Amino acid sequence: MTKPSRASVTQKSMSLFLSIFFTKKIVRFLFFKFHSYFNQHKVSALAAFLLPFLLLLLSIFIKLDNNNKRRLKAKLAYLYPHVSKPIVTPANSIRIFLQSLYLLLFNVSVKKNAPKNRIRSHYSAKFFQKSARFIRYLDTKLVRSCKRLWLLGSSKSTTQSYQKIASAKLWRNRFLHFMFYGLLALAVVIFVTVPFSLEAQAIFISLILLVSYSLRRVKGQMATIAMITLAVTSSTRYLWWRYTDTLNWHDPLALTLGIGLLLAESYAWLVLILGFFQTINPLHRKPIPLHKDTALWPTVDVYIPTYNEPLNVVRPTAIAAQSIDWPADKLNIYILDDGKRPEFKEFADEIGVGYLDRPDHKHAKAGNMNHAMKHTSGEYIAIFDCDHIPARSFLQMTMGQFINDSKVCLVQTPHHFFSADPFERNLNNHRQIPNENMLFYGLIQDGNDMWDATFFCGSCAVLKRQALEEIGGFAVETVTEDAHTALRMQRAGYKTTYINIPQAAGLATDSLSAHIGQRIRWARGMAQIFRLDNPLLGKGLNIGQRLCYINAMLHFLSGIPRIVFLTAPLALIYFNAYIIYAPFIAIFLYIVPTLLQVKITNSRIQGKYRYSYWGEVYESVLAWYILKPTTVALFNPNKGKFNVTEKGGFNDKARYDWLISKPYIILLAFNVIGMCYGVFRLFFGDTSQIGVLLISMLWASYNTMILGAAVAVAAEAKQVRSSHRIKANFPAAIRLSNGRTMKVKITDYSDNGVGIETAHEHMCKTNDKIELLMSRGKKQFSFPTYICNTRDKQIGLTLRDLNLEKQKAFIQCTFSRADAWLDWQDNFKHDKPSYSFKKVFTTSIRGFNNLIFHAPNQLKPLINFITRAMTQLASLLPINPKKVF
Amino acid sequence: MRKIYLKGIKGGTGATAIVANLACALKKSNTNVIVLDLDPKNDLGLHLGLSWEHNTGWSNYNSLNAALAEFHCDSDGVIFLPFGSEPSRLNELQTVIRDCEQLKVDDNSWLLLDCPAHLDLDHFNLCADDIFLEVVNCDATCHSFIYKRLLKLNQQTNHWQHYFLVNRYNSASELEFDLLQLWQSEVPLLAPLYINKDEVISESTAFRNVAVNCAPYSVANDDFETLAGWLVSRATHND
Repeated sequence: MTKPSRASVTQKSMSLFLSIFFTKKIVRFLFFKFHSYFNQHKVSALAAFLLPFLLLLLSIFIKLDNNNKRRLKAKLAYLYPHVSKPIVTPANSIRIFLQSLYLLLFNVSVKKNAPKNRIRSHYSAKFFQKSARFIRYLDTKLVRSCKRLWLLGSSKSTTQSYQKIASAKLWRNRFLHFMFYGLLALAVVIFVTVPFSLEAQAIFISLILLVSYSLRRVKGQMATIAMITLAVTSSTRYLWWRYTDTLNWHDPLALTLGIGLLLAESYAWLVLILGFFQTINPLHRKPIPLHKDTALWPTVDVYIPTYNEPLNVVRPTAIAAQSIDWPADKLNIYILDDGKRPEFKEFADEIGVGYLDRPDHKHAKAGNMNHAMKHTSGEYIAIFDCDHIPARSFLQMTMGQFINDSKVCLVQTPHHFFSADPFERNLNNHRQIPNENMLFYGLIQDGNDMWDATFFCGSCAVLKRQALEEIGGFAVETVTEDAHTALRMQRAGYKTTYINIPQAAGLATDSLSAHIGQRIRWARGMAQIFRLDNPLLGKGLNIGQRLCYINAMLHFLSGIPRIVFLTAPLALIYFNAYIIYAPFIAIFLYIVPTLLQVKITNSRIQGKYRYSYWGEVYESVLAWYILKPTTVALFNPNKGKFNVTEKGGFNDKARYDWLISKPYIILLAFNVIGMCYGVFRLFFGDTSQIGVLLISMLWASYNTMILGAAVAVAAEAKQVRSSHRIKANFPAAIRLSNGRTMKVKITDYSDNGVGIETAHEHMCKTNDKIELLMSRGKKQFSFPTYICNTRDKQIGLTLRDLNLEKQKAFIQCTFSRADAWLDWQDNFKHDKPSYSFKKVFTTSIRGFNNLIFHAPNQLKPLINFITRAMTQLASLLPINPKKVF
Repeated sequence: MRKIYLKGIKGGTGATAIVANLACALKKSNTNVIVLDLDPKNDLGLHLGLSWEHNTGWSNYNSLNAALAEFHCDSDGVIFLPFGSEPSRLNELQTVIRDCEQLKVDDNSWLLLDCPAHLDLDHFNLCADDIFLEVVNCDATCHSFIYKRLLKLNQQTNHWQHYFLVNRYNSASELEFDLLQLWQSEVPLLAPLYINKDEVISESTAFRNVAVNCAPYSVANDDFETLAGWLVSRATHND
């Protein structure tokens, strides 16, 4: 209670005035409140005067004792958790307003002290859950019934009748043959070209979508083929519609841009159709056992071409090549050193392999191998890039093909990489997502094999000398000598084969720039072949081979179309150019379902080898860089030289490759600004355009996501170890210094270390010397090792100062094991588009984070400002009340 | 009853330890295992937990029937009969082997015989079903002994299964590594497996037990299990 000791005249008169209306107690309360507001809370005089009256008024309705007040405060803090402390600010007023609105409109559970209620989420979420469950239910029902129907249709009797039809004599009649194809073509033309009203299109496309959606999990190649047929029909229809109905002939700008997009789409369509063709029925070729008598086995030369790679990269390869299971007198290994390095010669002499160098460097790798062919005489030539370490079973798996068919000139095995490629390393998804290579070696090569069009990939392959000599050695005209050589041998009537069993493993490129450099070479080489020795023209190829080759070349021309797709939606947003001149609803009915269907089909075909949306990411990264070299090579095929892919390098610190990511950052900036402008136009632009604008923005945001992921790749991650660790799982043993032994499991290894796991607790300490016992066949090898780290049951061992004999034994026990790379493709589950989308999205977010984290210092204040503004804005949004315990 | 003779090609190859460990490994598959110590050193009991003060065995009695009380059972259930303290003649030894065969046990049970290194093969009446393991170490002496034995085996017709079993193999030693590699390619009767040198085998004797029980995570344990498994396959091969 304050008792005015020196009450001023005003105060006295005031109290006198008030006491007319109120009791003495209330007057004292009013004065007390006034003083506390005015003096302690620094409220203005007028407010301090009025507020006590307001309180008085309120107290008529609400009992405001201390208890109630506390409860009320807690409740308010609970309902408005994000209102900051000085309550009367503009930001808080917005927060309070929005939060009140949110609390009023949505059924938020506000009973705070019942944990059960919190689990029971509010109404809208429940609705979503319910509908999701319903959709899932419908989906499983649909798929199951479709499976049943499909099985009914493809029971044995019908396949027999199919076969009867297929083998009928009727087909021998050429006229009928062509008649049938003609009819088929006519049907397709009708299907594709007949114009539909919007309603008809809606029904048509939804039927197609429904069928292929429900077929997507039915097992069997026939279901795949059915899905492919549907996808071809609808995508062709879509393209027809685009050509006939959607060009704006009255607006020159829109017309030019529209035609550009249309050409890009035509390219995509062509690649899609060819891709379907290529992979329609992958041939999973099996190894053919060799003759029992090894005296009948042919002689094999192993070439290990090298140019500037360090010796420690070549060493394991040469040693592993020596350990290949093949009669020693029929296996000759040669290191083809184009760098003319004396230490390589010394090493070759030391381990007893051949060493060949040559006076010049003409024609790079192809020239090197041609030179070696002159000095060797094996009937077959196995080629390993100097970083590809072969397994001991390599020749056993491959050579049978040659013996089986004398026309076979090449057996290719997949390139497997035990180190993470730049995508995997920088995005930190090694062994979680199939890498870029996987699609080619897992699916496309097997598909090519079906059409007898397996490509030679320059390494991990065996070639027949006779065939090579017939075409005059390795092709030297282009920078991708491998593909060109295979093409020539095929023209000469030879067959190429592919065995999808990884029998060698190597190092992936170790930086994004090196990776891009390699792809640029491939792209340029392919464009060169296209010009110099076009597979569509010339003799000796069948139509299937021609199409497979042309698809491979088209793949590398994806630069321009990809950039067109990444910028197309901006045409409408920035220039208001209707590049797809059609009503909103038509666009919606044609594009979305067609895209969906193509995605579903591709996801089914490529599911195990390439997850949805990642193809776009890989392509976007390369698009800008392969654009120029392919275009140049198309016009002037003889320009440009062979660049060697650098391997075995080491990233010792994390950095951001600004130079390489510049094109994507610019594209990204265009897209982001376009999105902002789009939002602006949504509010202030023409309302009739909202539909198309929304579609464009949706597309642009998808592009932003893809570009974000592309940007994420450019953040070069730090490499922890100088040599790559390879995951493994096989038994071994250790003998401790006290003579005791212990069974262990090898969990990983590299060329100078091993990770092991013991079955129970161990007493090992760092720096202890222990013996590692590993077996290869009947032989047991003992390696002196030191413990470099221990954790629970895990022990890390380093191998030090092994002599050559022990090095050889170590490589035989690890890298060159026949089963070393076999689990490669089985690690991956089948693609789930939604999951994959999530993954790309998080990657994209990571890309943006990287961009901010690595931003140059001049930009830091701007970024800080923007982030602060964003968080400030985000804090205005209403949030769900949460009880804090 | 399946009979396995184990004998060092010379003294000190570690045959007795193998017998004891093998017996326990075989016992783990729930078959009866009877071990007979034929070595006058009388040290098998030490591996199987018998105290050193125990001095009597079958050689102290006139017949097996009289010596029935000398059968012991170790903690795993391996039944064994120590040699005893009396010097015995050859014919007594042959009688005790014959009498042991007469014991009433089921056909699946094993009879392991720990033979002294100094007795030659001729002294055992080996029959076609028997498996004879000669324990060797990877050294030069054993190398010559092996070739001597092979020469002898080639001269006579032998019906039983004869194998050389490498014990205390240490792949870190260059000599042992090379010798084993040589034997693996040249010696026809070399068993396809070997017992690695392992400290736990000698350590477990200090605990009056066998390695199979003392160190379940050791390589020794694995080796003996493999040996047992291989012997089972050999024995069924006989049937």
